[in-house]
Amino acid sequence: MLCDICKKREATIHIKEVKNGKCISTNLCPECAKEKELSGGLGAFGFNLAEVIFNVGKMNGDKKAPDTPEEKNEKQKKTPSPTCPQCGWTLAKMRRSGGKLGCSDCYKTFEKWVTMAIEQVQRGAVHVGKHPECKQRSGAAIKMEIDKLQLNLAEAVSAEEYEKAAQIRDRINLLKAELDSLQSAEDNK
Amino acid sequence: MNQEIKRLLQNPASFLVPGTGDGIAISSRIRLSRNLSCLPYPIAAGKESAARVIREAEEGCSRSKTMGRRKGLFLKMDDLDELEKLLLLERRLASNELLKSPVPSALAVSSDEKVSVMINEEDHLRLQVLTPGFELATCWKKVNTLDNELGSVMEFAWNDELGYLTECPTNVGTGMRASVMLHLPGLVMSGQIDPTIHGIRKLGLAVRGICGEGSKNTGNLYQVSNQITLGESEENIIEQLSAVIRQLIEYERRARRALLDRDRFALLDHVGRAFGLLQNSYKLSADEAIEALSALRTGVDLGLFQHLSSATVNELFLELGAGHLQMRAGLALPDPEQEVLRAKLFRSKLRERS
Repeated sequence: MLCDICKKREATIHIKEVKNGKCISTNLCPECAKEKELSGGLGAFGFNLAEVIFNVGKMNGDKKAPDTPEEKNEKQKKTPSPTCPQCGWTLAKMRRSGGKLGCSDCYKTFEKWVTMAIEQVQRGAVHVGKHPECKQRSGAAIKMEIDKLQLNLAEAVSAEEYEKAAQIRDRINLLKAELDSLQSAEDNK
Repeated sequence: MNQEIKRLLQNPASFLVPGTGDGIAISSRIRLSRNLSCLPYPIAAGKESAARVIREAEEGCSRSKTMGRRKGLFLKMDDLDELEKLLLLERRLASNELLKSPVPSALAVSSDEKVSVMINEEDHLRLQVLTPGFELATCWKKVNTLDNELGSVMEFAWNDELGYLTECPTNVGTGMRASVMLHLPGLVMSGQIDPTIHGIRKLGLAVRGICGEGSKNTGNLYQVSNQITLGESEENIIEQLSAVIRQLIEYERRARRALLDRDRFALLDHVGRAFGLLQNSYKLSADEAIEALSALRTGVDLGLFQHLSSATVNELFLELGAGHLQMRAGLALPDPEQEVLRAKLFRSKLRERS
């Protein structure tokens, strides 16, 4: 088996990590493993984000793990690589820059790759920290988000991604509390 | 020379003001990445949109109480020469990336130098708070207030699921990177540093040299920071990092005690030789000075010098930088002349105290 990074030398180091309920395996030659660890970049093993998304992703899609139906469809269609309508950012630019994005809309344009990157380097898929103070959202917007999250929750449960499901559930509970306080404030008016 | 920047030279850098802790945790820093919604990130931005970000940030900072309203500095990088930029880098107000930004970039600094905002670095805004010692809670309180102040006058890129959106998905969510700079000579000398770093990385934290990403570890200084920004709240991230830092400080204390118990003279010799080198050299490179100064700091921490304080060590640590040396000299100098000047600085500072 060849190393996932240099694709030249034999991989002798095999790393298996469970993230968000998925088993991710990485295979490296001693040289690349050492280099990655010394450079101390991203993740526990110090990967460059672009390498993670493009190489490991490709490898998992190649033969290691069985393809998901979506991935199979993607491959069969051979869709041209997307370009961000807002800023003109492309997949090639994302790769060259080490996984960076051109604008906030890129998160939508390159959703598939961003999701992959987030799975690799983050602990969860949903933000649970601070919200902007000025974001006084309407009840309708909150309801919409709860509906959307409930769909995500069902998906996560059926995919047995329990960690992700728990996070979504926590977020839904938070939103419900927010909605309640918003409604009681309106009732008092 | 920019008079406002010259003013910075009159004070010790905010993160090196002495008085807290036992010298192991040198400084703490928290930065938040924020972007203005609807504008391309610096990497994809044209001059026009970069200039707009600078205008909005200047307006926001001038209204922010935390930034000292109009009393603070607002510097456009294009207006600065190389020496001035180097000075900002050495005072940890600006990053390399900000100085080399392909689009117009700027820096806002509060009057006490503790709070700064980098504009058009990797993200539109990087809000950062620096404090001496192990003070992550103070940093968070302050940077959070600044974030609220700026967030009330500008709209930050935000997604209900992913939180604050950033140029790199490694920062998305909280956009927060908290770090503590540690001086770990005990762990280095006792050969425990590599397994320790390995252990910290396994916990999902990053360990870097003093100058940030990719820098080497000079002077036994290590920066430990969180990697994860999504899926955990800011408070949780800070608490998890703090737990590791507390443990590291304890390990370092134990290592120092063990070194003193096992071979007191070896440690004294190490410190004494460094003192001799710094006191008597006529040419000193920055790397050599930083290494020797690390030994001196260890000696001060262990109470081996009555006449030398951590304030002097901190002052020298800052002043040995090429930017500070040349700014004080008032002109750009080639390396060999900087080395002579640096040696002179150490001779005079350390002789007046011996």
